[in-house]
Amino acid sequence: MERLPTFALGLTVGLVLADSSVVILALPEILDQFNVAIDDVAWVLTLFNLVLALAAVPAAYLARSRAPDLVCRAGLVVFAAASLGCALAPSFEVLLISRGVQALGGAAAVCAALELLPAQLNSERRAAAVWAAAGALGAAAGPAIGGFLTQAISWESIFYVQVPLAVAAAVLLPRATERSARAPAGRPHIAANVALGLLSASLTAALFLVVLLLINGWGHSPLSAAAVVTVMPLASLVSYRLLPSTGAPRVRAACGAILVGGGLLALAVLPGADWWWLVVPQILIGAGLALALGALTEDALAGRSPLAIHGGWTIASRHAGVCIGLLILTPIFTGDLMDQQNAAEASGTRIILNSSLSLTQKIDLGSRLVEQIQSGAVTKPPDLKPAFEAIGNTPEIRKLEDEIQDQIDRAVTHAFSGSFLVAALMALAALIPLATRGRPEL
Amino acid sequence: MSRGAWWIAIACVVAVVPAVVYVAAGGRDFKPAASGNPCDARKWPSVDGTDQILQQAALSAIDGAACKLGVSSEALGLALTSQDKLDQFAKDNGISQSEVEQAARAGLLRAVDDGEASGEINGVTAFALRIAAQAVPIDRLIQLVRDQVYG
Repeated sequence: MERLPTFALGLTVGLVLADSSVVILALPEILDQFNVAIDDVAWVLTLFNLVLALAAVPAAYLARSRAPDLVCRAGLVVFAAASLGCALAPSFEVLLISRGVQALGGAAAVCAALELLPAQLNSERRAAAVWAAAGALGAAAGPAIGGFLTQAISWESIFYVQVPLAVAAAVLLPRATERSARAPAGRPHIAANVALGLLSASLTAALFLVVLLLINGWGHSPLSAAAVVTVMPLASLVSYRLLPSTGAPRVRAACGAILVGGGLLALAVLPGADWWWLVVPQILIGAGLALALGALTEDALAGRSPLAIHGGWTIASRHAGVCIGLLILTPIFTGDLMDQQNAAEASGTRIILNSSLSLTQKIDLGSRLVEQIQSGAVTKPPDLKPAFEAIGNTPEIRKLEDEIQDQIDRAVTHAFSGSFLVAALMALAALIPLATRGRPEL
Repeated sequence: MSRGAWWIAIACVVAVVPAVVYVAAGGRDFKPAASGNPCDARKWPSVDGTDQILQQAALSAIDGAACKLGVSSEALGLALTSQDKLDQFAKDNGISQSEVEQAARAGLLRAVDDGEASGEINGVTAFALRIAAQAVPIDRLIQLVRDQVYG
């Protein structure tokens, strides 16, 4: 069964890289359970990506200097143990430490997997393509899988599920074959790695902000949000099968970056607060992801030896990009959200003041709305229905409710526009290093 | 044009189409309604009874005061819900007591103007109210507006 070891290597890469985004839909549950601030809970995501970015290149050198199959197994065992630590974490601090350890083990496993793949596939090019595709699919599918598990079972189940998968991959890994003499690693492909970082920063927005918009903005459950964001990995998978995988990697990467930029641009100008508006932009982003991440990773690895070291650089670039994306986009989004809360409050006030309700009803409704907003969870949009139901069920009151709900939907949706626009610019900025034609190493 | 350039051109077209369609469907305007200009006259709807006249007058007064202070009517309306909020609002916007007084009187004059323009207040009453607006103590004036809007 030659396919099993290859599958185990793909599973290793997909499993570890899915972890960079798998907890996105679980963050509100984690926030509630550990009672931490919104800024703090984002570290569950950021820390994993930060440690992965920092550990990837040293882990690649380790995989190169020791037996890669042993390094990969050891990495998977550490990853599995840390996943168990995340699931059983009694405090937020333990959860964060476990996430850091998970990233350390994951870095070793992913980089060593790239050292093992060429022998399995008898081709360095195919190895790079399979490694890149597994990583891209894992990252894209992460939020949907995490959301499904969170809603169906609990956020801890995300980490429990990873334990047997990591152990199974460790058992099925192939043995390392004899390697040729170890040549010193050449310089990394700077243009491709910079483009990977920029594209990953923009993809953070696509994954993180779409999920936030669905759950925290529009009030969807993690399960329905997971169903909506499944469009992205599906589009990625279909595009990977249908779109040409031959041709200049730079052209494929440029087309992918343009599609991701276009999808994010469409998200910045959403004309409504309904989930179906997210479908077409996600298809563009998924297709762009399949084209660009694969092509850029291939470009970064093409003709470079040893593969594991250069693979380590691509992991470092991608996850540094994710961290930079989070660091740039979070303050923009937070600031816009506050501005839009004020705008929604002002327009709601105007609607109530100018309505034809009696004075008593206006006062009653106003105080009930304030009560509902203050009593709601910070991770969910306020449920205003009880406030309106309490003062009556006339057509006029229902119309007022619709008008105010419409203003809230507009405010929440518009709060994400600036971040999506900046993310679109980041995706398009990836074209700049790609345009350095003839100078592959800047 | 090379094959690669064709692919990039096709990608550009495919990427731009959804954003263009979304903008055409109103994407750029899908945001909360902007505050109206408080300096514009408020057209009173056809009102019936003293309560409704006073309520419309209070809303016009808020517009007039907001216009004088250079703030939105909604922000001032929210601040008027309690004395604490009003004090905080004045502090946040650097508004002095004398400016509050001038704004309140401007608001009352505006209410008279809007009421007269809407035909709900006759000329003689409007004349008397304008004189009263210059003479009524300011704290009574603010309380009057607050009572009419918030009870």
